[in-house]
Amino acid sequence: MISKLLPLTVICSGLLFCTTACSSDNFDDSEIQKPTSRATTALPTLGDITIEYSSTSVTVGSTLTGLGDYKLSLYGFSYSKTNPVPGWNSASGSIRRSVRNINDEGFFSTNISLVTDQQYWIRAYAVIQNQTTQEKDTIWSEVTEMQLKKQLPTLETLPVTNRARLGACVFAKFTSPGNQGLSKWGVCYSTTSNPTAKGLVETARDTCKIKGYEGEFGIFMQELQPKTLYHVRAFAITESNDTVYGQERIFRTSLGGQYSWHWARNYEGAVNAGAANRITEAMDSAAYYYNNYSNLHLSASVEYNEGVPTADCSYGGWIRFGKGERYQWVGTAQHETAHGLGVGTAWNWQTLLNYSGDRIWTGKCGQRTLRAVMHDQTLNLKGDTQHMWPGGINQREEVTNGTSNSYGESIKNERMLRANAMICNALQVDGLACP
Amino acid sequence: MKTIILTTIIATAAMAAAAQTEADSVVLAGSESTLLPTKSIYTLTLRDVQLKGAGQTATIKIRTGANANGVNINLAEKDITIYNAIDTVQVAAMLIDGLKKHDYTIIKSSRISIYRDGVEMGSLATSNFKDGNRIVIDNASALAAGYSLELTSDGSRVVPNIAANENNLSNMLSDFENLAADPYFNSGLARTGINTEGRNQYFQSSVNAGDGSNIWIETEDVYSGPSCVGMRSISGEETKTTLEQEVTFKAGTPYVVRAMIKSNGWVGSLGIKNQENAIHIKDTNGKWIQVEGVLSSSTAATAIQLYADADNADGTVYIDNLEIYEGANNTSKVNSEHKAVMAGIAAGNVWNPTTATEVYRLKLTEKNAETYAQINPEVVKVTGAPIFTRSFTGSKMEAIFFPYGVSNITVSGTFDYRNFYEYPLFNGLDFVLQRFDTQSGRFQYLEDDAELAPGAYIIQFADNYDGQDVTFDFNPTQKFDDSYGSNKFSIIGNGTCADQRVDVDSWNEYYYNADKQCFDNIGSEGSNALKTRPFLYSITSLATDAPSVIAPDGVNGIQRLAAAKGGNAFVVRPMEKGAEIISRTRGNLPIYNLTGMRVKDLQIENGINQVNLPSGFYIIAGKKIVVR
Repeated sequence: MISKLLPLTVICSGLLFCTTACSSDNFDDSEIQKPTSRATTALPTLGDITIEYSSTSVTVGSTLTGLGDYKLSLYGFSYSKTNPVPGWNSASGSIRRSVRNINDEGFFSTNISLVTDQQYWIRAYAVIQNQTTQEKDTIWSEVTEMQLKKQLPTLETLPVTNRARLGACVFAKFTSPGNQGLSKWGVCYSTTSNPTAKGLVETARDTCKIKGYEGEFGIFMQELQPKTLYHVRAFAITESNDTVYGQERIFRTSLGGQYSWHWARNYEGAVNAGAANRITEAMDSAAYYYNNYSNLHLSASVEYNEGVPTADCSYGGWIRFGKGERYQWVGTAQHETAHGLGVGTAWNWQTLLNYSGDRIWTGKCGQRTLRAVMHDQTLNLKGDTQHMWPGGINQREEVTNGTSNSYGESIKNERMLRANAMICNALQVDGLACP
Repeated sequence: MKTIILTTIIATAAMAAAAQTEADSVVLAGSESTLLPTKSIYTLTLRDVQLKGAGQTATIKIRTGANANGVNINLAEKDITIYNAIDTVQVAAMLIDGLKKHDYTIIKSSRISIYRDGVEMGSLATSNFKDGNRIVIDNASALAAGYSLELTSDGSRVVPNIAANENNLSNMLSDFENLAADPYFNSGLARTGINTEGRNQYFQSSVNAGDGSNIWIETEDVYSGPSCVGMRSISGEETKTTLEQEVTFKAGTPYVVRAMIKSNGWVGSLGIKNQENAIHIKDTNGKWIQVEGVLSSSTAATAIQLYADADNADGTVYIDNLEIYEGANNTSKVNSEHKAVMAGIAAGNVWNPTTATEVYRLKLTEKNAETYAQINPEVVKVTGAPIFTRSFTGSKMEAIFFPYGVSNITVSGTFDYRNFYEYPLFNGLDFVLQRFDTQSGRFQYLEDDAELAPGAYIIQFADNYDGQDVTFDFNPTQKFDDSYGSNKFSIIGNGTCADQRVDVDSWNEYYYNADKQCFDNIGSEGSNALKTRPFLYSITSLATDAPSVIAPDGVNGIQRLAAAKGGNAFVVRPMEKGAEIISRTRGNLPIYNLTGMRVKDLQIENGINQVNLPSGFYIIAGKKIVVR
């Protein structure tokens, strides 16, 4: 068969076009479809196709030997999911990729996207020109089958280290991303063995997507039953609707915190100023959240002191409320309680915060907890010599208006109050020297 | 022993009716004869003393002379009082057996104490009366004839035998000193505690205290001797009734505690006061059973307690034959006596005394698979049951062999920002248990309240207890049955407290591999040199088509799997609109329909995989399933 050749300039144009693109060449040369030759001397040969699979694509390669007097004009690969003998153009049900990267190791085409579990056939081609006769031939390699198998993601459920009386944070991570994409992921839980994604689930709304689902995620379980054993396992549902699980872990809701408080000074002044009831309610509420969403111990002493501009607290829990009504509420009480527990006050606060460096909390539990409660795996728990954020309730509006994450979601109200206690609990797990 | 008077004295009606003058009374020791000692310490015994009827009273008077000052012990049907010119003390009240015949012992020292039937009832300080040498029974006509008096000791206190009237002591540990002050609950009840005024059989010196009124001395339904304690729990009761008995517990010292218990609807605990750990008592359905546990206290404690669960429903409980023995956390004491109620061996040690030694309870500690405690069984004989301490990785399924039934599982350590000392752990709350059922070849999850019987288990502790020391206390009365097995499997468990060589010539032996979360078949090579450390076990398959691996599926327990050794092992089961496949390895798994057509290639991962399938019949890994 005599191949009909296109002018070289057109071919070059096609090559340029396809240097990085993945579509077939932009010309129609239907006669160059099979290994053909009018040569009287031995033709060069193309080696067997090598295929390297990644999660979503393949890289194929071949070699060219025995070029001799021939000049290489065009080379690449042709593959098809319908034609067991891939041809030159789309009319043959084939996709052709030209490349320009031949070297001593051969030539390659990268990032060929395939439909998973679909059978393909592929072969390499080369258009060569006899430098003596100027005749052109097309040579082909043997056909090779290729199939990109469906790969499901794999997960690991991490130990449940931040657990309290009514709440817990459960963390997990993708150990391999799979190639199916993900529609949903999170943690399923039950009070019996083998929780499934069809039962009780808490969906994680964010993971390190930019890393190809190789990151961690976590959930914040609230309003759990006290004195109860929970079974949890991470799950992911792929876009192809397969469900995979991490291993099951079990944890028991803890006995909770031991937080109490008492009026230590100037209760009458608070009464006279009309602040006593507000402060009492604030402290009772803070005790509720810390007793149920942390395991921390504190016996706080409360003082009403009009000389204090807002409120303050020393390590160990001497809390002073000023006359500002804005600060006589639960959020402030929790913020000051955190100081009493060591936030900005413990001897190792700055060490754990890496204060001399990036001022990002170094403990894993604290970071994971923050990211779980905030639905944002990109966040970092930061701080200075006194405070932490986000989650530190440094302003009333962080609770009432909410604290936004990187995706514009606002975490607010009771979830934020509970989150504050869970974060403080995590800081203790990480080693903060709490009283 | 010097007998002063051993005469049957018959009181006449005329004497009883007369006024209380010495002339109307029976003078047991005459002032002239000075037969009664005048020393400050002596012991008297009156035998077979019985009031004739309700309303009768008699008074034992010890004086320096006729109508002189002295001490008086007044016996009545409901109460007994000691008094002198200055002080009066009610040593017993609300007696339920005041008309029965009793023996009394009077011990005079710095106090004058009265014992009844070997049990101290109460005492009065003797500083306010002179040492008398006359003993008189005033109004002796109130007593039935036949009583007698003897001077048991002139110069010393001879405390009577508290067990003198017991009749069922055979299951007690007689070789060791029982620290229980009133093991048989003969000493009545005290009134220290909340709402205790209404208690019957009040004894001033009783060591049986506690809270609540629903408690009594039981004289009919007893396990041994004349009495025991009965207690009732009532749902919604404002003050829960508890029983306390004074015992001095040292901090950190283990104690072997035993008791006979009979309950009917009552569920509760027997433990050291103010400590979390206790022997948990279930409803015995009206039968007497012996409970036992090894308890210790983080701080010094003063009493042992019997108490109902907080949410206990209505029910009754009886307790008798209480035993408390002091054990040791090491073997130093045992090495000199060659017998002990309890000793402990630290991880890494082999106890190999030079002389044959018996120990009732032996505590062994394991640090890891290489460092653990054991004994030389040729020299050391464990007559009771062991206690075993080791740590576990949170959420990890691990194998453990219970050579006896488990009476208690506790943890000691620091977690959830608290310190725990022998904190009790419960199945379904702190851990989950699967027990190997040899018939089915599966490990079956246990119900939360199931008895932890001897056998082979997979245990999984909550993450809370990761790395903490967990202690298993076994019940000696419930031993592993060697017939635990079937025509499919048998269990070779190591309850010997020493390494156990498995010399069976079988390649169907399976040992648990915690890292791989499955039982591996070790194959024929080296099978004659296998070693099982204490509290582990192997599973032997007796089938000709033995599986190559027994792997956990995490759902229904551990299944018996037939697969080529080294090959993939699958658990396959249908689920709604698909199938679930649990695999030990990753790889490709073809799925066929019933005609043999390959309908899907599934890329499976190690662990649980799920695949959606249309309704129909499928063959996956050789197993036919129906997807609906």
